[in-house]
Amino acid sequence: MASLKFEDIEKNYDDLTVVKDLNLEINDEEFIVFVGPSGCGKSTTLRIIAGLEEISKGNLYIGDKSVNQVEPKDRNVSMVFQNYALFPHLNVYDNIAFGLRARKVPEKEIKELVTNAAGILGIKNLLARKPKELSGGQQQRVALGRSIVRKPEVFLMDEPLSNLDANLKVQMRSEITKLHKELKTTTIYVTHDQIEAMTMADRIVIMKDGVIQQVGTPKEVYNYPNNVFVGKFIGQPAMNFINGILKEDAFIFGEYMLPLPIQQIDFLRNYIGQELILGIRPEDIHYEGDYSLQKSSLNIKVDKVELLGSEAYAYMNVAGEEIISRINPRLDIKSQQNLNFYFDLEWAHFFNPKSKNRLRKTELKNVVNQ
Amino acid sequence: MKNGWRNSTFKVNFYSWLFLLPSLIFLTIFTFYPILKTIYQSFFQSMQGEHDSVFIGLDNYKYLMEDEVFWEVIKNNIWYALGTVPTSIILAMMMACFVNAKIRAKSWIRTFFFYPTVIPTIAIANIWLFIYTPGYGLINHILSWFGIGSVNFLGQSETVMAAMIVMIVWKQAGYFMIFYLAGLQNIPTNLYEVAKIEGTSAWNTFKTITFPLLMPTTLFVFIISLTNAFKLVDHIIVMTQGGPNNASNLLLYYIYQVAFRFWDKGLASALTVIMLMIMVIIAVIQFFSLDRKIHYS
Ligand SMILES: Nc1ncnc2c1ncn2[C@@H]1O[C@H](COP(=O)(O)OP(=O)(O)O)[C@@H](O)[C@H]1O
Ligand SMILES: [Mg+2]
Repeated sequence: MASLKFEDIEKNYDDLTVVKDLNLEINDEEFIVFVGPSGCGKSTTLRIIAGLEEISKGNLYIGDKSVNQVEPKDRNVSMVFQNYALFPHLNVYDNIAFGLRARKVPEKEIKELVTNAAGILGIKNLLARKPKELSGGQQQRVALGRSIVRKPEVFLMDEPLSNLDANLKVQMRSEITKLHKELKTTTIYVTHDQIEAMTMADRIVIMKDGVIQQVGTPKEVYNYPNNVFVGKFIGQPAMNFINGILKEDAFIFGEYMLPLPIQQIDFLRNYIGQELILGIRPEDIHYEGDYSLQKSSLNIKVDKVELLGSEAYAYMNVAGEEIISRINPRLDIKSQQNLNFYFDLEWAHFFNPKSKNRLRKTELKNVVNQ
Repeated sequence: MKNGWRNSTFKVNFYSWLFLLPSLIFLTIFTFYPILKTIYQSFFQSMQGEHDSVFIGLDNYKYLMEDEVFWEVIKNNIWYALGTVPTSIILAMMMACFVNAKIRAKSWIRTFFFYPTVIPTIAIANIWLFIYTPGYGLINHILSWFGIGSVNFLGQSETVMAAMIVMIVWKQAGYFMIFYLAGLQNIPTNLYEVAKIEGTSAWNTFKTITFPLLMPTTLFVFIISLTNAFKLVDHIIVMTQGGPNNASNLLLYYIYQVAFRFWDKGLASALTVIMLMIMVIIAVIQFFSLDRKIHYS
């Protein structure tokens, strides 16, 4: 088990910069999830840690040791690939034993370790099978088995669940989390799925175009997104963003005016008269509000209602922008109805329309290490 | 209901046969009929130019069993196959792995390996006739630097087969390399990355990943090169005419000789039937023993 440290890491392919200004410390035993849209450099970052890609600039430390010049095999990491990367001609046992054999572990010990790992993952009865005789979930377990059997210092996982169906995903999610609780090995997990990030991570690293947007616990990044991108990316459906202008005690957009709660007025004192972006989560726009929100209610026409079972979403259009409110699924709301919605602005955030960054009390506060 | 069902199967069958018809016609005219006719003819003594052929049963085959040249030809052909098949395969695999690695001037080397394949047979024969020429040929020239006297590679029974083998390996290895290159492209790079992370040595990576996953290609190339080994005729016609003393005479060339030099149609047919049987045996090997174990995904 080991901690990791990225120091000003940059990765270029010819003149294409794929990862930039990467500064991050990962603690021992931590479960870190890198999340971001496809092509943002997550896999590249993971491959940099594994040593499969060279760093163009900066330093990488595993433990206290700089590993810039260290071969992949000497980094003591293991990697689970999106397509599992199982050897099709080897059976499950030999697949799991692959790394041990490469390290010349005696066969007797291998047998013990493989059986043990297979036991943990519940695939003991599959040891004689070839990968093509396994389901996706079973193949996934074998890949995990090959990775844990060697007891590396760091687990690297590149979208390990993205090829599984929805139910299996949920199940494997909790199994991987459980595995981490048991083994306590520092894990770096890459996904484009923010739900995986939210449910599994100790801390989430959100990336976009090769640059870290925010690092924080799931709660932090959900409740205090650093910028519009994070607000949009984390949370399903995404945070609502409304362009408007700040008046003394209200936020104006289109024909609407939202009175602000006291603490927001105080906080926004310096921005009066400026254009801002209001960010508010769908669950903070209520249809059945409590009375205290009465004064921040707006009468809006509902375009359509989407029922998901345990929850429902009302889609509306205000000042040219679609916003979504989470409503009680048992309510009988028809589309094209005009209804009162209560905006709970206590949890709302305001963003600079140019930089798209969230306004903070002190703008000096470091964006990354909050 | 029942009638309708019958009707529709009939229709499906009818259309299937209709679509197959053109290729069936061609197969029948150019493959099935000639094969049957050849088998039929192999039971007759029929010299070209004489109209009446005489049924002689298995006499043609009996004759062959006692024909020294026939056994010489078979022996030659087996040596030739043993000389060309494994060598071409190993060379092709090595060349492909080499070219596939991250090296400079990759496409130049690839072209260099492949070009013998695209040169016409006659040109190849010419090149190698020059290389093997006694006295001033390339090899003899080099040998002379070491004070070794002139060797007539194509002119003596001891060396002629080896000389042909070297030339054919040179010619076909580049062609097989292309198949191996395709095979290598089909191996997911992730597998090699796993090997890298786990610390598998280069040789073990080849042994445990590359080689087994190239098995389907190897089987394919094996079959092709084995059939090639029994089909060689053009270079022999141009370079040695089976000589000296039948030392480079191979099955197909012998058939050619019997049919178009000695004009013995019956005997040539019997030889052709034997050749066909060899081909069938090769196909059976492919289908039943090797095919199953080596296709993984
Ligand atoms: N070998 C490579 N050569 C050139 N560009 C690459 C290479 N590998 C990845 N890239 C580019 O780097 C960017 C990030 O890729 P990647 O790390 O795989 O993204 P992610 O895993 O977040 O989807 C992409 O734009 C991709 O096209
Ligand atoms: Mg990726």
